Amino acid sequence: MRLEFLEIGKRFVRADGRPLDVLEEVSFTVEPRGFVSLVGPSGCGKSTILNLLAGLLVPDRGVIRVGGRPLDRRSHRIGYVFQKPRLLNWRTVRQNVEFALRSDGVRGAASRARADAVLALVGLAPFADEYPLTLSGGMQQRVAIARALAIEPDVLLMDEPFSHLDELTARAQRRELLRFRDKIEATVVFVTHNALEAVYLADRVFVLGARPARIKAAFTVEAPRTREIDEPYVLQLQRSVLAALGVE
Amino acid sequence: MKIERVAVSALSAASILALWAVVAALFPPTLLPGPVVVLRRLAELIATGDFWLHLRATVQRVAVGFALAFVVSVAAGTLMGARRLAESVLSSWVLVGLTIPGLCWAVLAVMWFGITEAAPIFAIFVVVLPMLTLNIWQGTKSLDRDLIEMARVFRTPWPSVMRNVVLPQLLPFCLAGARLGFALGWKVVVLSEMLGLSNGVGYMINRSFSAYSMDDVLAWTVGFTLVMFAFEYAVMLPIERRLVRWRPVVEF
Repeated sequence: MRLEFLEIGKRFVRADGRPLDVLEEVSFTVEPRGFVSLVGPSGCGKSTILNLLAGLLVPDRGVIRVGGRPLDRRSHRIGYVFQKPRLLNWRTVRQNVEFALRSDGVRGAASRARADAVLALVGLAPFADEYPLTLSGGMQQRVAIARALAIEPDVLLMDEPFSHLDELTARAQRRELLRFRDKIEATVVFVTHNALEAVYLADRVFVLGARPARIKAAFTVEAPRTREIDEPYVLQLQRSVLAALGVE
Repeated sequence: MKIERVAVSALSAASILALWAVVAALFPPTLLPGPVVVLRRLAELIATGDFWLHLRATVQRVAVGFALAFVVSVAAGTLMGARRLAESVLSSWVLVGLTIPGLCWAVLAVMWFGITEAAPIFAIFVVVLPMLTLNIWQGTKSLDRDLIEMARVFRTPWPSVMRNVVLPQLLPFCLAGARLGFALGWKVVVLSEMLGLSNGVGYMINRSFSAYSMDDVLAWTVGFTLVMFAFEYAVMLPIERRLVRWRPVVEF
């Protein structure tokens, strides 16, 4: 589904009562099944954008549209992957994935089948009956991705999902994500502070400025999805993104 | 591995009996009977059915008192953990409840409720309640908010949130509270029964004491202790083991 984030403004009130303008006038559009990265410095409002998209917050100005209709948490399916896996450690991997299906009322054999299918997609089928703490951090995060995909979301939101992993694991997880990316029907919004990761994974990259944030720059990634992270084109584009961010 | 642990526990129990036998040999039998005499007396009590009769009366009182305390403590504890106002209001109640000795409650209960079932049940209720509430309060405060947010984002219906997210986190606290609660409850019920009831393990201990029958006093005590051991090993430990099977085992 097409995702439209139009002229969104968001203000918070600080503890002492003073207003904090987090988003100024943020607008971007993502084509159906598109993969977009949002890059920006820490604290610039990337998570706020995700929370608005997830329906956890309401914009003060502007409108969010999914599939041409205003965002409606009851009818639009939103999948979310957090920075940390946020799994239920006392439930098996499969049960964790099935947990996401409770809101749809999908149960029993149908629920199990969907969980197994999405676990196979992310490459974790052999671990379906394991408990999360026996898995590595990267695998736990992949369970979280599987959980978000299980609901067959219209929009998939990913909040710096690899930022808490060590670099080697993160590299492996990024490759994995690209591998099954084509099987994802959802429109993906991927938030990161890592410019290289942003360019490697996405079709389009939006650069956010510091608070109050707006889109400073937009880049289209003209490389096939089979790209390598250390390709010259990718590295060059990363440099452009870093320049837009104001980093040498 | 398991055989080793069972053997060690058995040896430990045997050493208690051995120590008892040694100390008993140093004292006159009317003061401290040895394990053989006591266990024989216990066997008699079991055979005649007396043991089960009085044990059942005691256990019923504890069960009712504990169940009532559990229901109220879950409500109060979760409220205290979730709302700061409730915490401010109820925390002093909990602290006062914890400090008043069980014996005082047992005495007050008999004064207020007379020689009825209500007396021991009330005493057990009042003693167990603050202990359980405290544990559930702490458990609720330590709930992982990130997981609740995750469940919100996935729009999980709240019964499913309770069953999958909240309850599994609270169960260890409930179990700890229950263990302490039962330990206190057994003590209080025996005291209550001594204060004037006409059946129960505490009543029989008191009666044996009045008749200067140390054999009986110890027989009842040992029998009761064995029942509590059985409860711990047959009920509490299996529950606990089931609750922690998802944790990776680390020995250090």
